[in-house]
Amino acid sequence: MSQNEHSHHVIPVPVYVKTFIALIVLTVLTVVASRIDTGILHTPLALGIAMAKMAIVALFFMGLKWDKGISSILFVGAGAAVFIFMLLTFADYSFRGDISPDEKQRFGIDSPVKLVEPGASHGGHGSKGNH
Amino acid sequence: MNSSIELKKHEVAHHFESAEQEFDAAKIGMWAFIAQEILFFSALFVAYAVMKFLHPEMFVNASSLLSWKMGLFNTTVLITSSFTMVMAVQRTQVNKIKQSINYLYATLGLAGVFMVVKYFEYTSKFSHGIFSTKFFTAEGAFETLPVFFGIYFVATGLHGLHILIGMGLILWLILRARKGEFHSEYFTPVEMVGLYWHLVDIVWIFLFPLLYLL
Repeated sequence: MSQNEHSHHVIPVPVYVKTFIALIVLTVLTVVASRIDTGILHTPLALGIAMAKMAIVALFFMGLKWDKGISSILFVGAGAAVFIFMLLTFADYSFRGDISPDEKQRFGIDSPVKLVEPGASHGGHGSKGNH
Repeated sequence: MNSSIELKKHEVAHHFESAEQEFDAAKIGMWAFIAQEILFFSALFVAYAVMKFLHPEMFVNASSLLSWKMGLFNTTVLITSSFTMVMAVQRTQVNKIKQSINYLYATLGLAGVFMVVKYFEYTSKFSHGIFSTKFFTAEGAFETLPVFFGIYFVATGLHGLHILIGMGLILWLILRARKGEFHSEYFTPVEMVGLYWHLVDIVWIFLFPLLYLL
């Protein structure tokens, strides 16, 4: 067997240590960003930091940076499929109210929640997105 | 090298030309599986996005009912376990098998810590009557609260199931590594379980801000 020509280059430990530190820093950053008032940036910041962390894990811990192209194609391909899934579902939901205005009838489920502050309760079912 | 662990030569399966071809085939298969896992979890993320879009105020209220401190603690635990996992692979590649086994034990322990924290989070929710969808019995400010907790329990529950399966796989790696089956010439299973473990970490990287912080 020709196992000796089977050569993997081994990644030096400091690369993994730096990756780990970067991930911890970004985790602290995402909590800090969510605790202070960043207005409309609130959700984009949280998602942006999560995407950055995902990229760091995939590139270094999962080794996509040094791997053959096929692995990246499968990973990015799955991401693209998720994007299309998100896009088409939102294309549906964003305009659905115009076709089926009666939310109560559509779901037909009685809520099991014991409401507190009844005044604050109308943010939910049926009161939004309909005219 | 290792005095007590005797390394065993790996025999390449007869249908492969070389060890390298065998490794590459396993790796493509693993990445195809990871792509499938991403699609599997994507259904939950799309459900989250649609429901947050339909009930924005309820989602803010519901996520304030979760303890972000416990979420942060668990995020740190999982990231650390991803680091110990990658170190286990690296140590195997340089034939430091005993160190690799120690890193695998550390990963297993951290996964256990994650599940214990998750247990306390779940039981504290249950004790307040906060359950998934129609089983919800708590008081709340929004009638749609069970929608959020349906997503919360299904997403974190399936993620927790992945952690449990990962713990089983790591235990299997430890048993095989102790027999000297993994070394610089053959570490395919260690590498593949590592990829799986990092994927489980990536899923949590998204679940944490979405459920606990937004």
